[in-house]
Amino acid sequence: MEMAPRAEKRGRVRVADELSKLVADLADGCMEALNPIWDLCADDLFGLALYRTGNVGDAEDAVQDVFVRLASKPKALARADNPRNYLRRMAHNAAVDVVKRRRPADPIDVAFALGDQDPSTETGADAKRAVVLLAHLPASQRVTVFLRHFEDLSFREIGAVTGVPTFTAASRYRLALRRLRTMMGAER
Amino acid sequence: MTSHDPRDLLHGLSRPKVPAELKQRVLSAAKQVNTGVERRSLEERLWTSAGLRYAWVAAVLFLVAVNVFLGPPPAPWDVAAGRVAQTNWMESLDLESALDDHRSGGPTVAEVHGAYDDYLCDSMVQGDQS
Repeated sequence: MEMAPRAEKRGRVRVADELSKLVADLADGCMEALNPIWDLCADDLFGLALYRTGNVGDAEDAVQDVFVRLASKPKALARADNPRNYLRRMAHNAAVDVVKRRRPADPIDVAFALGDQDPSTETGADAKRAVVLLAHLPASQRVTVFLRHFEDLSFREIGAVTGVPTFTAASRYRLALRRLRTMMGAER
Repeated sequence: MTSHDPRDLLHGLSRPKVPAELKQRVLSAAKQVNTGVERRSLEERLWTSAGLRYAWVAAVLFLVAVNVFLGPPPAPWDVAAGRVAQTNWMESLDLESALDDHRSGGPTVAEVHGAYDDYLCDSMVQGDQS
């Protein structure tokens, strides 16, 4: 795993500070703070929910659950040590709840998370291939890959977000990579 | 395909973007939830809370039980009569005879004072002689 560039880390600290101020405003009853909170965190939460549920509609429901809970209990977030990770945990739990509510026969979107990448290019083709392979992973491993790869979280933070010990989070990531490697080998 | 390392494959992936139309839907739902619930005052919440109602009923039941256990309180005239009886009991003590016994059996205060004066005089006389 490559270390994030220093500028990116500074950006994360700035986002964390900004989020803390917004969370304090929200706790004081300023519902307008939901707008900038959305701008700061919605992509993270949506991506996490998408990787956990494997389904765009379910991920949207999970994100909506998070913000509705935020609006109904705005002071809960203000008490958290790390509001951003607290939001991630809320999104993870909401996604798990959504998956539990979903009927087992519902199909899982294979083409999730491709975003705006063009599959006709080489990078896009690789991305599409990665998405297809990721869809075969168990949801718990998939969300661990998301948090490690996109959010650059430590295994301790991933464990805190997903509600498992650090060792389990690391183990899930290792198993996910091994399974991906196996699937890539089988493709050849 | 450029690499067989899954990490390289993952680096080709971009972060998923939240659908633009979701923001309006979610935020309006969240704000609706917040405005739908009227913020009640602390006093109102206390009086309408189930916990307080249970506490109130429990306190009343407790008072009734204590009242039944202790029985009815005495009437004021009974209380007054009790005080009179107590006073009579105190008066019934034979204090006069006890005082007489004391007087007959020991020195009076005047006798004690006299004895003390004698002692002082004797000691002063002895001091002058020495």
